[in-house]
Amino acid sequence: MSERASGAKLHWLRLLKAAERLTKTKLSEEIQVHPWRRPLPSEAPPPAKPALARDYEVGLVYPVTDEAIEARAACGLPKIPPTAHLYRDSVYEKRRLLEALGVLKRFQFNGIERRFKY
Amino acid sequence: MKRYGYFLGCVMPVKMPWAEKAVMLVAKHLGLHFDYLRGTTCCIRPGVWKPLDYDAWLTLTSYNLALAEEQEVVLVDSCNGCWISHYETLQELRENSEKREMVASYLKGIGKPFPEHVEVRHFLQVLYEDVGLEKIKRKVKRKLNLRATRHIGCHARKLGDDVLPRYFDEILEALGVEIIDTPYDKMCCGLLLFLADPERSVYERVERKLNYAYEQEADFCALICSGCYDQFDRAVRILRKEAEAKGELPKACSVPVVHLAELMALAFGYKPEDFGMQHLRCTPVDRLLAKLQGC
Repeated sequence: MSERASGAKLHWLRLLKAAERLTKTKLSEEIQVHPWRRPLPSEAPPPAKPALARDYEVGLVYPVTDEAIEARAACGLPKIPPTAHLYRDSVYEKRRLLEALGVLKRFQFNGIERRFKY
Repeated sequence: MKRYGYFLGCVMPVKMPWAEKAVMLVAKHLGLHFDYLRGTTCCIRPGVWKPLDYDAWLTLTSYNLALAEEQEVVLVDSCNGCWISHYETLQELRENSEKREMVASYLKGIGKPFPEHVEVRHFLQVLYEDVGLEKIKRKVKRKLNLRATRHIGCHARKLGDDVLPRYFDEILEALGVEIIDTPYDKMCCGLLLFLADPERSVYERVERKLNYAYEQEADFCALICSGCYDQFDRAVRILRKEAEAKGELPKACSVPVVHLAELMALAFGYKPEDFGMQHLRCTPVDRLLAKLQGC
């Protein structure tokens, strides 16, 4: 198992790396500056951060890649699906809901920088 | 006549365009008044959002229900994850007046109507209850005569094994698919488990299921849920990469993972190229297609 596990684990670690890139403040550095302060972890779980950020960005978990556009055309479908990918108003409405619900604040997500503070 | 609005979700339009096209073909072929529900956002993923923020899950899910209300359609999901999110939200809105008021107020804030009259249906309910098995059987031009394992997915069991799982099996059989029961039929695909335990999620879920299908010489593994397919797709890519690095033949990666709508389209007489069956697959379908052409 341990030898075979590497592929899945590597994939998962890549997710964590992506989450790190999306996070402004590293807790390990913060604790050195403020050693007595209680750590402030984000309420967004690190492996879910990339998907949560995309949720804000495009309103859905996955963006429409060039590969997907090509495949959709080959399948006889419109290149851009008639979801929030096409109807951008839905994305802006969803962002307003996220703001009103206080989710962005709870997750410490900055909508302008598109990053989590913690 | 009911007007249906198909909820695409996140995975299908970018990873399973062949299934999207097949669903649209099949629905039209069965005479349904069936179109896309337009402007949809994520369903929103119950496994992630419900524990993080229940009210946010309820409100964001209601946004999609509000779109169905505006477009005056019955919301149809084929992804079990999307369906359970919409189904449970609708239930909560009907039973909990406090939550109703909360959701109505948030939706009003962005100029959306409260989903007062919306109905949510699983695609399997539309096929089995609204269209009917007899009509589906009548539409079958050629029996597929294939053997398959199937993965129905956890949320499809919400109404009991006698509803969606049975519909799935009976439709498969009506198309001429011989179902191979496996010890892993009720095992989760591992989609959410991946966030916490990637190894168990890949090797003890998807790999086991597909290896068993391979050992039983199944022609394919059938599913309907896009969320589950997302996990199969990810796991197969990981397994293939590992196997190729070792120069091995990846067993699990040679079993085609096929959507129910594709099988229906084929049985109804459509050609694989009518819905782009060979594009963007996680597992190759060539052998399956060769076998189909041979029958």
